[in-house]
Amino acid sequence: MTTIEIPRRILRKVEKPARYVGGERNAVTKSVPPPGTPEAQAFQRFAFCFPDIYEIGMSHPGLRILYHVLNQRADTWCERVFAPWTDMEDAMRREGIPLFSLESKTPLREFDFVGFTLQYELSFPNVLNMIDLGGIPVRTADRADDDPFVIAGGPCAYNVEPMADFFDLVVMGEGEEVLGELLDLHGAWKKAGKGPRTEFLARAARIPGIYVPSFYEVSYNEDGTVASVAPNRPEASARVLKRIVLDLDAAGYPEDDLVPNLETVHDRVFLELFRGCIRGCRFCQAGYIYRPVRERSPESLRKQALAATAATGYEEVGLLSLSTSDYTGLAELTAHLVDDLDGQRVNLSLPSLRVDSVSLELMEKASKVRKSGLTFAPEAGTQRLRDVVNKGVEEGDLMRSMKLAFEGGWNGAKLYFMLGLPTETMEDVEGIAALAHQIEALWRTIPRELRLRPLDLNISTSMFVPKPFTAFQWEPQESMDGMRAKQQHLRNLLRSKAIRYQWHDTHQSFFEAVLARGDRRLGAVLEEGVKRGRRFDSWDDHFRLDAWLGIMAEQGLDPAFYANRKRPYDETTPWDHIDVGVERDFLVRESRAAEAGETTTNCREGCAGCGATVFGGGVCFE
Amino acid sequence: MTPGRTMRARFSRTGATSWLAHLDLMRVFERTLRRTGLPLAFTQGFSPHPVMTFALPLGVGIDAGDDVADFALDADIAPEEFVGKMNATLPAGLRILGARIAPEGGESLMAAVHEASYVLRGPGVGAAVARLPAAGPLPVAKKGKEGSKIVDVRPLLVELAAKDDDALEALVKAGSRENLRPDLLLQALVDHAGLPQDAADDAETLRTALYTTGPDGARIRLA
Repeated sequence: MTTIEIPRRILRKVEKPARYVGGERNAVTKSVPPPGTPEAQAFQRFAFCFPDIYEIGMSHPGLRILYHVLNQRADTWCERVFAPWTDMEDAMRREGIPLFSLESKTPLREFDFVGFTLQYELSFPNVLNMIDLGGIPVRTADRADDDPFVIAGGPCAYNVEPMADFFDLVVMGEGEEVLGELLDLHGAWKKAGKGPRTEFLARAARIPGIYVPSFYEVSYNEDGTVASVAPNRPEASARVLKRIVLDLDAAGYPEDDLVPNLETVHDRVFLELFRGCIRGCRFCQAGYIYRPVRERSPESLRKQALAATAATGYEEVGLLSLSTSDYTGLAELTAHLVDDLDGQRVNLSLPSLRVDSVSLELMEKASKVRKSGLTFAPEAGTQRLRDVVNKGVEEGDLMRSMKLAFEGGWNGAKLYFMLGLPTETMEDVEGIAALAHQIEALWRTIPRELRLRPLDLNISTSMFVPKPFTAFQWEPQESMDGMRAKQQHLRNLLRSKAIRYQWHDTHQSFFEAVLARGDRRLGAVLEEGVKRGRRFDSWDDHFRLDAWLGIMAEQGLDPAFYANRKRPYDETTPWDHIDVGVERDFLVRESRAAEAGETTTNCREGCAGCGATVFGGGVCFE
Repeated sequence: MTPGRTMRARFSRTGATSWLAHLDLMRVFERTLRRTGLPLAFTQGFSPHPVMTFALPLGVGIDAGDDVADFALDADIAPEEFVGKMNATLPAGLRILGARIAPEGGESLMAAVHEASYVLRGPGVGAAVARLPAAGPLPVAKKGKEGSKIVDVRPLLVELAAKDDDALEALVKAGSRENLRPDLLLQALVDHAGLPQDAADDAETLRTALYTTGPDGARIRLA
């Protein structure tokens, strides 16, 4: 077994060397049984790889949960691997240092499983780069029997097709239970003396929720659309249904959470209130793929908060969910939590809540002296367009909320919108400015003594990216030129001292749209891009659209085919063989309702029959 | 800090924690303090945090053999309890060597530091000492945020001796008024004593002690 030690002279030259040394409080170290012993035969090494730098990866709750869950097993040691920043990667490649785990400094090659979480499409090139830096063949087809199994999970795994040639197997859904089953299977296979890779994969394919891409053949029509994705082995099912954890209270939670030595993006205890979302906003992939909604009880959460702050020493606790105002236990939870934590001088960080008098009072209580910023996400500038996307925010609600906020001492807010939503016209774009001006006018009606600081209104627009498994998965993304024209128009309308307008770069959103609904032919594009030095594509100062377009052209692929095409409902998508519970028929109904500008009730107002009842639990059966 | 309730602790750092910048090290200590459950004094204001002062910041990549920091408590605690609870929960590589209640009054810990001793270890590092000119300036380029400037190491160097061919011991000016960074001393050996650059870049750097100056001008170890 090798241990990698980065020479001091390299650590002294790179940015934030602490990224590469580990040694954090609550990091797990286990003793590896000596080779040749029966214990060694059964022992499994799992490398959890997050395809971005330490500070970003350590903020990911999924890593923190699965690290804890896997390490609860006596037969498994789960360690962490993050993408080295470019300065460290250059040094590693120059000196022949392979990518290694933080806990034991073991090279990636020596693990049984190398698992990647796919949180955003623009991280795909980093995944390939990390596999390569680990000295493992990038393509599944090129791996030998003694290479690790390279696997993946996470939200982008649902349409993993652009990366299908690089993963031995993919986990659909939540990993807590299915990873345990996979490790049980692998442990037994190892004890029995192993065997050829495909033999293990064939057994793994039988575990519900596990997708083995090499067990499927993809054929294409003349026009480039997918003709079929069909199993080529009996062990592979025609469709793979995702796995979920029904009882979140029983699910693992890292009370002894890792405490990073560096400052990370989400540097706090996290409390996962629930998974899924009842709202059904039509653009939101997370809201659909994490259905049905399953909540944790306020008692469990309170226990977790107290245990985790004691074991970590974090100075802040944050609430995590897709729509915290919809958590049925919010009042009960916060009633106790604010007092519990205040006694320990631990801050309760509240995410964006629906702004009403209840939550304003809560925010006052939680943040004491400083008022944390208010955020709203109307997403669209007119009621018509908000109805199209099924985002139930009424203008009256927004104005009432702003009035309450201003009277309560807040002097502004951040409002999130998207540009390029289906059916959007310039009138809708102008609606964003109209809302901002209405808020400005409202501010001027607030009594002077409550306006202690100038108004500070932030408007932020991002570019709509159509995602698979949403009602908008058939929609074209707006062209980059069209987007820029809208951004410019809005910019001109928002010229005011009190308003700051931030907009997102169109290049990255465009490539994200290509990958999000991509097929296997993009694998060669990604591989070539990485060979030519593309990395950290989610970082706007590293992303090079021209480089990617060049490679696509060389491969005879048209990015507009993936991003800008309006797709017919009956077209076979590259992800048809994956089942997230929510049915295609429901998405078609929602798409048609969107076109008609009709809204759909949320799960608690009235079941819309999306199909998530197939899991037999959660909000569907409340 | 409230007199009589400040715990002055000697600590060492090696391993992973040696790669932390000063602010990150402070955060590590803050969270460790919170985990101990000891009665801490907190700052006022938006985000209260434990109160602590370090005698002299530790640069990235520098080990500490015996550094000093003050931690403000909110109640009377026996030093042994402080040492025990901290060592039970500090991350690997950080250790409290001893503690005592800090004396009341007097100058701050930071103002008290005048000198620091280092042991630098690496191939040929000790042997290079004999090749250093016995007198005269020792200019070295110091890279800063706005570019590099020339620093004369000589006046900041108090004592220098080889321990063996591959190690040296140095006593240098340290603190907020004048401070010699050990990497500049190594660079002086590269520029003026023929030490290979790689050996300097790779050298183990250990700060062994901090010193203040007594009323009679004598050198006193900070503890």
